[in-house]
Amino acid sequence: MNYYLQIDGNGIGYSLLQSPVAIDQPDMIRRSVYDVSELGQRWNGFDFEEQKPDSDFPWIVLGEIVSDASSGCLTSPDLSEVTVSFPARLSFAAELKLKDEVLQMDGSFRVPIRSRDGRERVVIATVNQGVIAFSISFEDSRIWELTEAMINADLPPERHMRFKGIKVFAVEA
Amino acid sequence: MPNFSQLFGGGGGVKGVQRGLTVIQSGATANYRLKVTIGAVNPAKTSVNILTQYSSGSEGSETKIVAQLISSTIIEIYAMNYSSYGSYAPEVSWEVIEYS
Repeated sequence: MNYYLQIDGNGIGYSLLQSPVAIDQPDMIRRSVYDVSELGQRWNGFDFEEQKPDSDFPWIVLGEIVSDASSGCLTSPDLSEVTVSFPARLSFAAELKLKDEVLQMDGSFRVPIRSRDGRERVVIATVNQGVIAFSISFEDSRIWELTEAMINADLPPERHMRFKGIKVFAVEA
Repeated sequence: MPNFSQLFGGGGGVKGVQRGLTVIQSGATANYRLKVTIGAVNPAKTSVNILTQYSSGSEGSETKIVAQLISSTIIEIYAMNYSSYGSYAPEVSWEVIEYS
């Protein structure tokens, strides 16, 4: 028998499954037992852990997305989706906020993005006094996604961040 | 003596059963649809049973749950009149039975 805990875009386990059929899917996390206590917990890339209250984690709040292409890009009002004609380089500006205040801190972290066909790329985001900046080139037609779980997957729990997630549709002109 | 399946040509037996428990996140809006992945089945020979018929929220709200197989690997759980008050997050227990 196979056991899985399905996670949402934020890495939170929301559905347990007991199945005789094996499933190979990134959001289906194989478990050794059917453990209902893991429902609602966050997948950190290795194990499920209790969620801290939201107020304990800083949020990555996107503020601006700019394309270097002459045609620009189209963004949804909440900046959860971007459509851009390739080739183009998108520059993302965000703030690291805790309880509505920008954290005055410096540093960097990895930003992995993944396309629907499983391809993955990684860029570095820099943090300067709480202002986050990173840019990504799009060379072909794909749908790319960046989620909170992807950002936190290789970070220690104490450095986890909240993020609403974003999809980038790189389309043919 | 032949059994029913042998006489009438039907398979009749159960090929596999999958069971699950799904949490509808608190804060979800009314009429919330949630897609849940299962192992591949033949939809023509599969039934879905909800084992939770009714749940009640702490604010007096009620939730009606519907589950349906929408593809060979996905069931959709539909919570109607779901209230997002408080931390209420109903759990839905279900099973998928595939017949041979």
